[in-house]
Amino acid sequence: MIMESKKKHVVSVSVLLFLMFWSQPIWAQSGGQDFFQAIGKMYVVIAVIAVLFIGLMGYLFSLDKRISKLENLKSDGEEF
Amino acid sequence: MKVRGLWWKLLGVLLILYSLLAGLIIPLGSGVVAVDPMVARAGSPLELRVEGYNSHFDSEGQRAWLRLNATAVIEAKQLQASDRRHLAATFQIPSSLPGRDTINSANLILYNPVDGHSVLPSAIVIRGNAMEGSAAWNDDLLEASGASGFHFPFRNILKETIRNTYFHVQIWFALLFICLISAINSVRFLRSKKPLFDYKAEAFAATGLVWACLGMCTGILWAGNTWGSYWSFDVKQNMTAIAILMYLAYFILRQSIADKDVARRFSAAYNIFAFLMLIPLLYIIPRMTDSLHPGSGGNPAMGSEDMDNRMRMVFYPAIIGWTLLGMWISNVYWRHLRLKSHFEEEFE
Repeated sequence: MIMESKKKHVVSVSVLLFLMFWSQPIWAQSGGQDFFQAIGKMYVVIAVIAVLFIGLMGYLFSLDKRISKLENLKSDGEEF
Repeated sequence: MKVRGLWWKLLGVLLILYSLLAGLIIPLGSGVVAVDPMVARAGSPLELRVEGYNSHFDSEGQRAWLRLNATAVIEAKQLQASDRRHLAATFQIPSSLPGRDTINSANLILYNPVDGHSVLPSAIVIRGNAMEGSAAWNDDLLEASGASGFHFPFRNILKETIRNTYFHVQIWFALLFICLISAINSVRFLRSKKPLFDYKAEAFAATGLVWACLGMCTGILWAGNTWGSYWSFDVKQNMTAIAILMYLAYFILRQSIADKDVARRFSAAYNIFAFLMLIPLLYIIPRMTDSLHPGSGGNPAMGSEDMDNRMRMVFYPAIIGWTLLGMWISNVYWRHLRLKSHFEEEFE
């Protein structure tokens, strides 16, 4: 069971990483546009999206922790 | 395996994905980043070097104007584009200026059929020699016509960060809906005394708090790179800080009362109050004074200066998507809270 869920995590993380790297050529392809130039401050947009992503993952992580706590409780009846 | 209410969860994810992709891929329209020199003298020739952004200065039909006011415009005599982003425009500034002022600020207006119009406001200062006369100036400006292709508007200072409308502004709108749902559940709890509504209220308030923190962090980043300071004590920044503290107090209140029923009733009443305070804090007080944020100090929020219909096509789906994602996370959260209290009762 535990191994299975770990496997799922690995898969979803690698899919995310793949999507992140795959999306880079899209910007490059928009050819002829000054898209990623520093004068356009595109890095600010990327930083903002990164903050959103990190925040969401942090929230997900804390929820996961709470639910794991419940699951442990279910199996051995300790805590509380 | 079945996920409850799958369709709206999927819809939320798809809308966020759409806003992410459309918000990043659609290019900006063309604009002018800088000109050199920035000062010119009346009566002398001026060779203005223009640096463009996403522009096509080397295309056929490029034109350039300097505009003092609606009736005082001169067109460039000669244009030399070294590439699509660099243009040298030669003007002959008339020796007489339409006004008595010796210092006049002129806008630079460019046009070509590919980019449409692009404007650099207050591009250059023209120093006059107190000779009045508008004979050499005319109002011969090309009627506005749109650029080809699908673009987001180019705004100086903002530039590409105008995309943060879908990654910062949207979260504050979504937060309002999330906090509204939380307050509604508090009302339902007070009327029915069913703990389920209390779990829901707590879960939605928690998500609202996370959304507010995300909105604040992204706002700090954006402000630091456009307004020049990460925290400029702008009225809206201060009021959101107060709103976040108010919702933090809600969770402290929950924790601090030992008796469960009392805690639930107190926190439900407080939560309704917190939501009622949220609206003046975020939407009314910032409008009454000057603020850097749009929608304040007389600026129209969501006015045509900040947003056009093309941006709305991404912005509104982003709001709905982030609201639905917040509802989904809150949904998982309150189901967890319900299970937890179920277990607690079991083991007591």
